[in-house]
Amino acid sequence: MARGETYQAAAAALDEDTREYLSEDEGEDFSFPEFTEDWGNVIVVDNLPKIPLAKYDKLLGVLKRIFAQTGTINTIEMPAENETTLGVAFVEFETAEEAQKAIRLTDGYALDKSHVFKVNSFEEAKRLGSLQERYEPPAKPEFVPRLNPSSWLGDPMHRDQFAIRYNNETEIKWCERSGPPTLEYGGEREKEGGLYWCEQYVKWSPQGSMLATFHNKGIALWGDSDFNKQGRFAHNGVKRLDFSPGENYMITANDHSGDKRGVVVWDLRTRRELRTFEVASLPVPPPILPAGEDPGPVRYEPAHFKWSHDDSYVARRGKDKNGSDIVSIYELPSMALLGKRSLRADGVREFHWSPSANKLAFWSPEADNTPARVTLVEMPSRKELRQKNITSVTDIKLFWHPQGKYLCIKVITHTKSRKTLFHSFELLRVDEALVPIESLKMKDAAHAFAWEPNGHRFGVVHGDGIKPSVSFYSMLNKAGDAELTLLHTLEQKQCNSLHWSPQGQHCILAGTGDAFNGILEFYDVDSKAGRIVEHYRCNSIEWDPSGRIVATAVMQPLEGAFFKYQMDNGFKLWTFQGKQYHETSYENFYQFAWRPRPSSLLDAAQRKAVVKNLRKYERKFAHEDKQKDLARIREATTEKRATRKAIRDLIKLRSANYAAGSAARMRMRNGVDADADDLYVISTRTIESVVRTKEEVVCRSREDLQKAHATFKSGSPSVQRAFVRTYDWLTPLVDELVGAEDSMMFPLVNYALDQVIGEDRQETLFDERRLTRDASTAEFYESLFGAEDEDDALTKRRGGSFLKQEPVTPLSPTPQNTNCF
Amino acid sequence: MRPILLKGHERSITCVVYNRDGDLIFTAAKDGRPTLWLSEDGTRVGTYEVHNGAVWHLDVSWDSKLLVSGSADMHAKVWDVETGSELTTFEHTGSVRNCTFDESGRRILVHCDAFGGLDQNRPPLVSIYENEPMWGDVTSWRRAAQFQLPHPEAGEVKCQLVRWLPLGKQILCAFEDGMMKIMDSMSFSTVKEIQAHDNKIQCLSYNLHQTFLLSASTDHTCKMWDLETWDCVKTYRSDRPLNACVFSPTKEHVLLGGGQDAMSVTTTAGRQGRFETQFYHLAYEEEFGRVKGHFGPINALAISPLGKSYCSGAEDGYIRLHHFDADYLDMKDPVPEDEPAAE
Repeated sequence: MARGETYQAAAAALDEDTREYLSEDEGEDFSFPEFTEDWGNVIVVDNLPKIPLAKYDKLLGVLKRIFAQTGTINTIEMPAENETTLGVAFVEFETAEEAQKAIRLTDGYALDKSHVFKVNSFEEAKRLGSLQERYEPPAKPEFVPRLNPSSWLGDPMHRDQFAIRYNNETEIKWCERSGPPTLEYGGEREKEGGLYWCEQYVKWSPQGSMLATFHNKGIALWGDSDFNKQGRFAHNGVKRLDFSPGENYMITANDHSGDKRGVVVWDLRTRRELRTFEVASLPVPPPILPAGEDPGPVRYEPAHFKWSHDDSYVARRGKDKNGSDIVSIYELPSMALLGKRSLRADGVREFHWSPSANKLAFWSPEADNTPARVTLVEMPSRKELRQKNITSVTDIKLFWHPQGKYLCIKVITHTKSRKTLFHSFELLRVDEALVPIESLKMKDAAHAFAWEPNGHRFGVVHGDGIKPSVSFYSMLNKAGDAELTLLHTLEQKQCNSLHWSPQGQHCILAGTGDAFNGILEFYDVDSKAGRIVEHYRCNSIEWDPSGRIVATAVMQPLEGAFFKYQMDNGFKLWTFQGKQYHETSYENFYQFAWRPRPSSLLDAAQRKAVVKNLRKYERKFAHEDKQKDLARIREATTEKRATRKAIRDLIKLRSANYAAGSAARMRMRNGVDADADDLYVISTRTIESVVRTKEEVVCRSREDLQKAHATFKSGSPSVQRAFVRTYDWLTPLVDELVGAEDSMMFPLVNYALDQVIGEDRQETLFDERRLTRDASTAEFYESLFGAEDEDDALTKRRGGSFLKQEPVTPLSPTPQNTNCF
Repeated sequence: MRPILLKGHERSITCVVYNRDGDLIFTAAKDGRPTLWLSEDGTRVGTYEVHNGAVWHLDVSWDSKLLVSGSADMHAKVWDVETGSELTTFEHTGSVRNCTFDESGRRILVHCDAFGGLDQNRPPLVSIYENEPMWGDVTSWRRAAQFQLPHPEAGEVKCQLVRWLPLGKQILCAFEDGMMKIMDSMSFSTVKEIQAHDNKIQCLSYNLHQTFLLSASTDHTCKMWDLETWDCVKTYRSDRPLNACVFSPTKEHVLLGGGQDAMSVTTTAGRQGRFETQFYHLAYEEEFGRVKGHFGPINALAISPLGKSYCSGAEDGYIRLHHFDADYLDMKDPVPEDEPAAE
């Protein structure tokens, strides 16, 4: 039955009195009151039971009772036909507001199972009644392509992008595999409008499809191939931004304490606010210190929000009405509290979602005889997967494996006096049944911990001295079974943090801060090969999403003047093996951010196939790289040749001015042409100067001579030649005595010595005791040469220094460089 | 390239110049003793005794006969290069900052600072002295002209450098705010004003033919100017405040020196305060080499007119005389001279 007819019927069944009144006064001159067309206070209730008129009053009573709760009822009408009601009622309220309230409250009200009220306003019923019987499809809107969020991934060169903020500039650049990065977009459109693109920080969305820029008034999102504005999100004084991992939502927060709209959850598709929160400051629990130490004033920190991995929940740390700590979990997109109650978590400090499942890990410190507790809860079932109680806890930190396979609990415990601290790790195998835990006790302090992003390994920086050690562990043993295994330890390293490549295997052992000032070691955990480089004062180390390139930067905070960094500001690009290939410095450098990539669409088999055919791809890429380099060089060369030609031409042109001034100059110089060639006599003379003199001790004893000879004999001809050159002062002696020069040179020298000094005296000569100046030896020498001792004797004999008295290591000459300057 | 360390000054070096033939090097330092060296091997020939204050600037005449030095003792002195005897003294009212010969070598431009606050009797002045009679007795000089510069105590911008322009027809003044003014040397009227830099201009230097000018500034840039049109032809960007710049006479190179201001060195963590000499290609504006060695900012650079050696003087009190080695002298332009064959 069409609603229109219902209306007719209703009109027909107008109040008896009204009909009478109208008919009686028909002929009279009567100013008819203006008929009100406003049916705003009337509602139509459909889906009522169809009943015989006998039960009419009973149903009417029921309806009256229901609707009386929502407002004052003027009339209720239920049209009937053939002694049966039509299952519809018209209810007129005093005011339109009451009618609206009735619609809101009673629509969907179930009288019984088969009779669920359908309540509409009268106007709506009228509209529904006038609908056409036949369905006509609406006109198709013209197709507007959705913005392509991943256009940059289609880059034929497979390069990565990054954003930098320096001075007043914000730039998106392509990172080249060699040579300087190329500019993609630097806010040119905004500059045309006399604006800067961004005056604060920027942030990439987690899958890289959008760039968020922070402004005083809110957040702007930019995307697509040409960085067009994708949306504006007004939020005064926004300071923080957290995208959900799937880029469906985001949370923005300012730090205006007490602002009712201090935290806003946005739906990125509709660009609407889903829910707002007040900026609530929570007191940071005081650190656990040795007894008697003052923990200092209580610090406050803003409430934290954390997204679950699949965008389905957001967790928030807060306090309930009684002041106990809770973790509230909201469901998306309704932003309603999951299960209408929060998770009780007394004293909760840190809470983290697993990166790959809806599991929440949090810990709370010791309180009132209950030990510190780490809890792992599954959502939405709220099932506690695992709990770990630890006593005497100073601090706990939680590290999820980036793939959610493991959870590491870094624990610092203390002795009763709270003066000695112990470091240990509790490692949970989250994916296994009952979540087994393994413990790793450290002998010294652990400074840094990092999981290998796609593997089973982790690295720990530990040690008490200024040169800590780095240990690598694996969660699997050699056979691949679940067993914590120490792989190896590197000692005496200058580092305080670990940065794994997103592809694993390679990591950077970085020594940053005042202690190390930017020592970086690019370390390959598989081959145990390292390369130490330095980026002085660097305070940021970021791998590109592909793990090919590392950017290290010296950045300064945006606010305040930081002269500390002034001279070093800028960034460097390195290959993953630690070869620097680019460097830029800026006066003020604020931010460097790689554009993240979405996770790979390849499955394990496809990935394996790619690895297998790596050679093929490599050749292709190498070729492309070469072509590109060539093209770049060619272009640069052409350009440079042009600039060079321009400046040469200009210089040549201006030289005419100099020539023109020559007469004036001559006049000024009293008639002398200072440029004339005949003023100079050019002569060439060669000056020889001693650049370096070197003294070498050849040998000290007969054994040395023999050794030297052995070396000489076993050496290649070039070595022999070198020997002859080195000891060429011997040659004249040999020549003089034997008249020969061959490979027997050294025995011949001995022979020569024999000739000079005599067989029987030779032992004395080479005796170690010779230095004691035995009276008889001295006498001998004196008698022989008129010399004091053996050295002097030889010197006098040969006219050169042969033996020296300093105890020098034989055959490792200590050159004594004499600098002419 | 092993430099020869010229040891002889006790304080920061302020000025280094070669004579026109390139065989002599004159240096000035804050110790008040201008010193003469042989460029060949760095032999110290002698000193010009004596100024009672830091010597800020000196210049040698084209014929290597006369040397003029300007000092903080408010005197500029002319010396006989060969004998070292003082020929004459010009007394001024303030610290003498600049003193240069023109092409004749018998006309001197002297610039002195203001002295004693806003004392209108002792304003910053530019004076021109002439040998009288010209080419006569070198001990007899007369002041040909004098004019007053803006007074820094009166809130006006301080003048840093004053130089002759080619043939002595005009004078170039460089100011603390990066402005350059060109003045007529007869009437002292301003011919042209150029906002050359954003900060203090620290050094002005001509090429061999005096057709182009380099200006180095603490705003980290050095600019090359066409003296005919006063267009900025090239800009060399550095990563440090610049104090010195010079054209290579034989190669298409520009040498820049500087470093973090001596006063702020200790306040920063810059381990090396960037005290190297930087080599830029004249046309491409690209840095291609550095020579390190100083441990204070470089205040002065000079290159031999034959391009065989160069000298750097720094705040650390050392002068390093570098004879270029064959690698540099034989260095080819990175871009081949020949046009590539059509492909």
